[in-house]
Amino acid sequence: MPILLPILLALACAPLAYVAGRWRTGAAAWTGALGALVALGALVHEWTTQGPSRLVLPWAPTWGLSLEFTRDGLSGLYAALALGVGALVVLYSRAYMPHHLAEEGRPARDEVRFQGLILAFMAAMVLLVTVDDLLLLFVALDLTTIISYLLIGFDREDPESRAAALLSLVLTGATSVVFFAGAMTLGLQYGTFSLPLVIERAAHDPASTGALVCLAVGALGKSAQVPFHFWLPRAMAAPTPVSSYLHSAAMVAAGVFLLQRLYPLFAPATEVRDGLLAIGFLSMGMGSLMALVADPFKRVLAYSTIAQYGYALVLVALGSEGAPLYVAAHAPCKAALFLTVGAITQVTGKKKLSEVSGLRHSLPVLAGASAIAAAGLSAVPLTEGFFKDEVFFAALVPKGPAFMAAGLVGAGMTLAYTLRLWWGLFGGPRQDVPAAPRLLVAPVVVLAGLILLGGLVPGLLVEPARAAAEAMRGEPSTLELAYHFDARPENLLAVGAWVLGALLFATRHAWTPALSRVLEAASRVGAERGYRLLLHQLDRLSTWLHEKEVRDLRDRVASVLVPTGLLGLAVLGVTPLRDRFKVGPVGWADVTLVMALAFASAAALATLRAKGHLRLVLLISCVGFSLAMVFAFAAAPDVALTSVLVETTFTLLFAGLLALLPEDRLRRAQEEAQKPRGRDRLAAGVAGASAFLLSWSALSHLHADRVGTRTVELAEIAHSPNVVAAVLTDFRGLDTVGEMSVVVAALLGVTSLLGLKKGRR
Amino acid sequence: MILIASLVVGLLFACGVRMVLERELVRVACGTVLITNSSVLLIVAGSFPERGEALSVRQGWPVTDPVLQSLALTAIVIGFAVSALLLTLVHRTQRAHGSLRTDRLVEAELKRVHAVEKEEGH
Repeated sequence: MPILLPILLALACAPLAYVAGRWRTGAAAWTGALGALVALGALVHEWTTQGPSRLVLPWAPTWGLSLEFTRDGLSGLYAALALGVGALVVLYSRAYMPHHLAEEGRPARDEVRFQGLILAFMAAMVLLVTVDDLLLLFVALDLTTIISYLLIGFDREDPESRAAALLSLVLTGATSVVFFAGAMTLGLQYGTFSLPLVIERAAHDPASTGALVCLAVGALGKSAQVPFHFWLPRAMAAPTPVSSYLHSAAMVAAGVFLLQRLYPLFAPATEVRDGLLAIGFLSMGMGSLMALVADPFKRVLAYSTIAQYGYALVLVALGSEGAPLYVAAHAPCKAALFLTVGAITQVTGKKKLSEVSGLRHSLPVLAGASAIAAAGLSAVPLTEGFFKDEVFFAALVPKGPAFMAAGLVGAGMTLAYTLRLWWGLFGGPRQDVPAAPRLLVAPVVVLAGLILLGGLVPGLLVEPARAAAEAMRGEPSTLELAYHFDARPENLLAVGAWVLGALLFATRHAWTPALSRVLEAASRVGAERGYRLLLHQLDRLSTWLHEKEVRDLRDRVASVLVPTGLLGLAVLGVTPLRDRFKVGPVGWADVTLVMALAFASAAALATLRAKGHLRLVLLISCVGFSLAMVFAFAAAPDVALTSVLVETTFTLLFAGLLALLPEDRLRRAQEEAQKPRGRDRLAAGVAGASAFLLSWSALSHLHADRVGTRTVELAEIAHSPNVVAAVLTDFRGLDTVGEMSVVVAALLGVTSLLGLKKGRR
Repeated sequence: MILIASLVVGLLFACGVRMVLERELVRVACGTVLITNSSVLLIVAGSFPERGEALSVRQGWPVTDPVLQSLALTAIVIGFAVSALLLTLVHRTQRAHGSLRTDRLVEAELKRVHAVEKEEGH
């Protein structure tokens, strides 16, 4: 059970914070942050004292379903990330949200809702990384999607924000459905959803490529990789704490996490991994290029996130043991930078790089802390970020010069856009702004401290990174993190990247305009445009279908009846049965029956040609009474009696209704109705033929062993000489209750509809 | 006998469909009544081969299948309730739109939809 403790603590954070917030708005953040830290403490304590373990709770054993949780390096690393960054973001929001809400013209107590959502997201994330079952993975994945929708659309008055929330919901939701399809395929292939069992069985019988591609699509959508990347920059419409949490350490990390968790399945599928590799490099290139020219600071960071998760994807695709470390080292840097730009937006009210400069004089602490975070992002030594690029280069070196060159250019661009961002904010001509609240700066400082600590004492990182790599690849990891002062390829590549980045930064004024023109032209044919086009066409299709459907009631009915009839005929055609159709004996005793049936048929045919409405009513009741006669001759007296009663009532009702309808209108309608269309005859023919053949086939194969014989015996026990009554009241009593409710509902409808006054609708 | 019963079922069904596809609401309602009748007949036709007694069953005598009878009863009653509701709806529709023709109703509905869309557009 102790394995569940961090999850339960994380789950408890949101309700506790909400309750505290009801008491005093400010208390929500402190309670939530404290809860997150306690959960983090529990996690670390249990990891250090007990090590990896698993917990299986039976859920629906007959279906082979169980709730499975794991505590291994991977889940520990990501849960610690989610909890740690979550606590800092919640504290930051305490300072950020009141101002933001005031700007939006909303009451200050809405902050409690915001904190609750952030904490709920944190819990969903912890759940996602801890579960060890394909179905639960999907459930947790969708939980994060739904909460992220609420968070991105938190400014609900703002159409831009709502549109962004919807876009992210549609994209990540749709891709997670694809993930579900992949999970189901795997579940059917291996007969279990339990991840360790699936992985164990996949060792002998590799997973199908289709299933793996489905799983990968789900992960790519979450991690905002090409071609699903465009939701992330739009999602920057969210309040900054959301961006800094969801879009650095949590939601986008979920996709790459999934790939790492499922890595043993992907390991033998080289072609899928090659595809992921290509997508990773593509996202890296596109994200970096867009980050080099974007003007709003949050967009720079969003594009940078796309690029950085591209790196992580490349590492996963190459099967590198540094993949978990990369995500873990990137998250604090990106979160700190997001928090920095949020603080700047709050004190200056500006959102674009072209509108601010020289803030280092007014915000020295923020400038220093964010410089460390920026250094971490661009992999400068003495920060933990250095090691993320080191493992990246180490994975590329064995693949040859082309890969090394791509990595070098990518890392160079990272340095260039990070420098551009930091210099754009803090460098250049001085601007004086009011000082930032301490609580806005403190989380950035804490994160910067952690980034420095990881860089100065890399030994602290080695243990969790190795454990995570071991959980990912299923074999002991030999990952080493240390500074080497020699001319190994990794070091040379790093130096090359710095030189390239510095060059790019120094010459930025020369190439920025041209690059932004090219990218703008390219965005016209990009995936986002395809998405819009698809939505537009779907919308048109739905309108067209609706108009078509409404335009003619008859076509609507026929479009149900005719295909159903054809389906019935097709079923008869494909199912082989001996003696499908039996004519059945006709004895002298059947003569009365046949006569009554003939009478019913004649009346039914005559209704088609009935001139007046009254004649129509009489013919319809004629059909009903003939059938009652059939039932009587068929030795079913109860049915016959009921039928007579019902027909009598119905005829009276119908005649009464005719009296209520204006006569001239009836006559006119009647005249127009006498012109049937050819296709109506065809539809009736198909439906009738299908009904005839299906009932003939069914009646020819009545089972000799009836339920009825058993019921007759049971009726004696029920003390009812009338077996039918016994069936209705005893054996099928629930059916009768249902029938009663239908009758009552229908009669209520009739009385209320008749009681309505004219003119009211 | 099987053939005859199923022929009548098919015939009633076809007549019902023909009427449902007509342009006038009263006849559409009548069509559904015919379809209901055909399905009740199908249920009871299952007991045609072994007709006997339903009341005061004696050992060894043939018995009409009681389960089929009770199913038919349920079907009849529900069919009646639904037809009554349908007829009332016909009446209401006529009062609301002043027409019994389905194509007129469609025009009215489309007009309303377009009006709503126009309103949303502004």
